[in-house]
Amino acid sequence: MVTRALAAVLVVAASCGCAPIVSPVDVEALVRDPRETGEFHLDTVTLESVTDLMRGAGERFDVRAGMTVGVLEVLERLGDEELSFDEVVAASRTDVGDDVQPRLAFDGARYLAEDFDSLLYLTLLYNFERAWSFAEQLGDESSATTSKSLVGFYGTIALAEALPVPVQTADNAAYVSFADAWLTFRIFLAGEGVPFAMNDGVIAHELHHRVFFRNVFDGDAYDNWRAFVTGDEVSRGGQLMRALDEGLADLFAVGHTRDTAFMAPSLKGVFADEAGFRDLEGGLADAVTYDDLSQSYLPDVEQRHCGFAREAGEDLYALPQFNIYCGGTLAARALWEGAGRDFDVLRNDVLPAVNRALPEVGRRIAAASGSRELVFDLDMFLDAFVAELPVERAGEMCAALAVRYESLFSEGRVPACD
Amino acid sequence: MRLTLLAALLLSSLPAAATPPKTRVLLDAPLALTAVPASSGVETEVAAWPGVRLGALAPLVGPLVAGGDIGLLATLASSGTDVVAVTRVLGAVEARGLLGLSFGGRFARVVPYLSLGAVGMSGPALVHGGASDAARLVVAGGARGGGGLLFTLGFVALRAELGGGVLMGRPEATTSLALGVAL
Repeated sequence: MVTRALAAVLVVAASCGCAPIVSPVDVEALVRDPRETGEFHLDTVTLESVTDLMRGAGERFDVRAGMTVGVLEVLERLGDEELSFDEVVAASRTDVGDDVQPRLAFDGARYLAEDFDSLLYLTLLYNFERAWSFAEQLGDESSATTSKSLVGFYGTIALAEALPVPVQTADNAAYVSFADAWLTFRIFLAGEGVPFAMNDGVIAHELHHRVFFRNVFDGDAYDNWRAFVTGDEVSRGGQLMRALDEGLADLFAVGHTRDTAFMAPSLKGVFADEAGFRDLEGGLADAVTYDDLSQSYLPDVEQRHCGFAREAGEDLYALPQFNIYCGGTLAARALWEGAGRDFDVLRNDVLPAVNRALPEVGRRIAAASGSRELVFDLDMFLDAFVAELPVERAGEMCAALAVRYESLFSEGRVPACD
Repeated sequence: MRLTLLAALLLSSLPAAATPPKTRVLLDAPLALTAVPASSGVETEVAAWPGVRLGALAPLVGPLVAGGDIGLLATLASSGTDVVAVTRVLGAVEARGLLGLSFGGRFARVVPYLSLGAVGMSGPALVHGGASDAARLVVAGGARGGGGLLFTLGFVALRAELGGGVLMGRPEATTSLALGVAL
């Protein structure tokens, strides 16, 4: 293989200062094998939206090296001033970083990475492009997919400019709503598994955070988002909203990858347990219900994962130690069951309905909340979501939701299922 | 204390141009460290390049000496995880011209010098990506300039250098230490 590839590759230095390399352009990237669950391999893929491959520029997003997002100053200003979202974004991007400098070779047909960072970069471009296109296919027309954004390659989240201590720099990826940008972080030196930024499911998950944020909070509910992020205390509604955000991001990733355990290839070694908790067919997903979490009634292992209550019967959602990913798995599993555990139904009916429901969730939050609070419970989403489902899908979905969210249904809070 | 005495003895043997320089052939084993911006655009990529170098310095006028050398160096770098990783094995050929001033006596000499040269490198980048493996041939070139100090004690030659240049289209800083023989 090595000999054949060496013989086949006619290498031309690509960093020659020539005209920009623009899409459509073929590159080699690490991709998920659609035939083998959890397996990845190198493949030739086509990038569709790149405007300068050697600098990380694109039509949809630019990849910026070493971008830094500041947090504290923006939070303080948000609490004191009526900042627009664009002002928040500008203030949060404390350093938009530099151009990436990939080392690429050209074999006459495609660009090939010559080092690990460059392979990660090409794979990242492809993963973001595909996830972005998937969101568009689902019908998203929000600013999440119509406005340009940034991807901070090996970015940093810092507390403050005066104290630029990174709070997150290692092996993960994130959407930072303040900066309206995604950050990817360095891999661990002795990393195991597929790096997060090379996992198409992880990137899809992060992309959906922008879809959620822009659809829900870009309109009437913007003040409620400001109140939420600047609030001093953990609120039940805020925790539920974050859990739903995580769950829908997972569901989007599951639909995108057709793998209920899309994170498993990236969660190895000491993180292997986490993979099981996030698997929509895993033990936690099998067991957890809305009322279990409301009454901290879970088996020990799941309780440890979801956050220990100090007293029996305590509402985990209202506790600071509540693991929002636990509530996320519940939401994703409920909708996965309602889709009949069928990837095509998930992609064709359920995820588009989720997308159509999100702006209505924002309107309901704004209607239920004062301007300096965020009031939210899951019925706001569930009712809006079921109302957007094709009629023939509503029955199975409602049956699944009624099991997982029993008290909300017994209280008649999801009238779309009546 | 012994080192101080030795240094004093050596320095005492270095009156400027006390002894005219003669042509010396140098064969030494450098260990070079190069630093270039990494492809991420964030970090600096540091690589160690052990190798061998053969050259000569000949007198021109007074203490002025000129010459050149050719070096063969190699490096190996690997990064990634157990699932996806890239390993690069590169060999480099460096040809340089040298211009310096030679001071000292018959036994011990010191030669501060400037260097300017070109470097070409090649080797495979082996890519392991999940269930597949691939390879590509990396070919790159660049130019380097810098300065150094050559000490000779009899047949023993010690060189220390600092330099910079452009390598693979990126700015590069380099430093090296070399130990060898001066014939």
